[in-house]
Amino acid sequence: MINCEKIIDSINVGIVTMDADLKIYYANKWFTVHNDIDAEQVIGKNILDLFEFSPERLKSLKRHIKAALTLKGPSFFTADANHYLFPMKNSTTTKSIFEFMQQDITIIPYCVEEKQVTVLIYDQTSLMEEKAKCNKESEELANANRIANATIRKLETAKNKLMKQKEIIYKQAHYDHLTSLANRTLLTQRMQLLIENNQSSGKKFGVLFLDLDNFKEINDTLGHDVGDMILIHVAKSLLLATRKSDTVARFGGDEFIILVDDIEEEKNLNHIATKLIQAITQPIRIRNFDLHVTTSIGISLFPNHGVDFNQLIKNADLALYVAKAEGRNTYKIHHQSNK
Amino acid sequence: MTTPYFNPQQEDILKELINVSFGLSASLIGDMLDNHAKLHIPDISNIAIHNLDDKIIEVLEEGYEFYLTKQRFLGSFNGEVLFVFNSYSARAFCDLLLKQEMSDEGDIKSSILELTNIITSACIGKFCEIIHGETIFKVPSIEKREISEMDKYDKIEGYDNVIVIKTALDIEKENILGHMFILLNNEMLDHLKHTIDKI
Repeated sequence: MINCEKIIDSINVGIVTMDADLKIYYANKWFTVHNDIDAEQVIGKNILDLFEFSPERLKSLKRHIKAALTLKGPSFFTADANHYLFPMKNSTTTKSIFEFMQQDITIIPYCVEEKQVTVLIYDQTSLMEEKAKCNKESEELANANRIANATIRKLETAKNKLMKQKEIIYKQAHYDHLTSLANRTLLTQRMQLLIENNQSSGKKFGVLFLDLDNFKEINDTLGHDVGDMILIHVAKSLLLATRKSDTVARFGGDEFIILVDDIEEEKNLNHIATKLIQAITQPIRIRNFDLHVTTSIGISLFPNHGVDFNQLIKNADLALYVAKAEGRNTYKIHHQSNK
Repeated sequence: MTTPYFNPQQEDILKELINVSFGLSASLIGDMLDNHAKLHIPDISNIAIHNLDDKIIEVLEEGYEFYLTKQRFLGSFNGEVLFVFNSYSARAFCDLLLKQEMSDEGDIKSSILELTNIITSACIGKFCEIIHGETIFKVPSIEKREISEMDKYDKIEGYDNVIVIKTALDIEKENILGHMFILLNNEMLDHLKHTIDKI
């Protein structure tokens, strides 16, 4: 014969039988141990003699009992949503972050006619502690995530700022502040690159040295501000008259140098120079004045007239000198000038 | 296996059965709330399990957050019941039940669990009764979810069909709307349909 009472007294679930008026008819050992009372003290007593229920919890207990009896089925109460129904102090048996045992409770009808139910109490304190711990960790993780995201955003802003500053510094170091054309530094780099590339490929490139004719007179008569406007206009005209792959640089004052790659024949340079002279000669309207500016151009060709920067510039400058001497508004290629 | 859908006759009988069980639930809920409560089912349908998430999104309409309860029932009649309530309905029911000025998340969850426990117990109990089956209810759970995060939640497995029951609870001037989803495998659905056909 199986001793059911022995089993009921050894399981880790609280079992209490009571009626709708909360009178207790039975309590297993778990219930008495967890409440530190003797079984004899429990039977026949009202549950309200054992616990101080809050009005809300008492109403909830009565509702659950009524639901179980009416539906003739189980009524559930979960620790997850309510924490506990019976205020059983955890300190009686264990230590916990919760003052009261966290409970899952199932109320099942025992004798509907007598309005009696059996209440099963499952201790979920450890589970709820774990859950609370997990929630705390999740919250900390979410906070850390928020801080990390904010830091990433700040770093990205700083990075963008640095990139912009780097761009500005690069521009200041490599471009002319007035005309925005390449300056000497960039010109030197570009020409060096062309020399290196063309030395291996055997291709030619031209160096066109431009100097505006009588620009000093313009500056002296109309002022430096007008002179600056003319330089800006000339820079734009030169950019429009050349290819994107060409380098147009301001060499200094009213001097410009243009590097033109892929020159198959020397006569191509004549065409380019003529086009540039025509572009510059177009009248410029500044402050209601129609100004006429002309330029002289000296040209050297890599590798025919030099294989390094200084040589190519020097020979282009020599050709420019000849073009100036021959009456300006014209161009000369280095060997022509030597003839 | 027959078609997963109910024919009009089966649907009518099913509605009647659910209405009977809802009558019992409504009286109990009315007692709980010290008020007259009317529980009715404006709509009932049947969908395949893979359409469950889409259906939940559809029934919630504009709601962003919602409460989902889950409860399994085991035995010769087995399956799982889900309930979905939008935040407004959940809070409205909690206010009616607890009649307190300030309710927290725990209050809302426990109120909804009480409500769904009653409806589930009555409804599944009725189904069990007609198919002469036996069932044991597992402890229910409730969680708050967000529609936008639907893809991230674990999918429910082990079922083929879902009976979708729109439940409207009229108390005073409040109309608390929820949706009950009864998840069944093909065998259980067939069993239920054959029993309904004999009624």
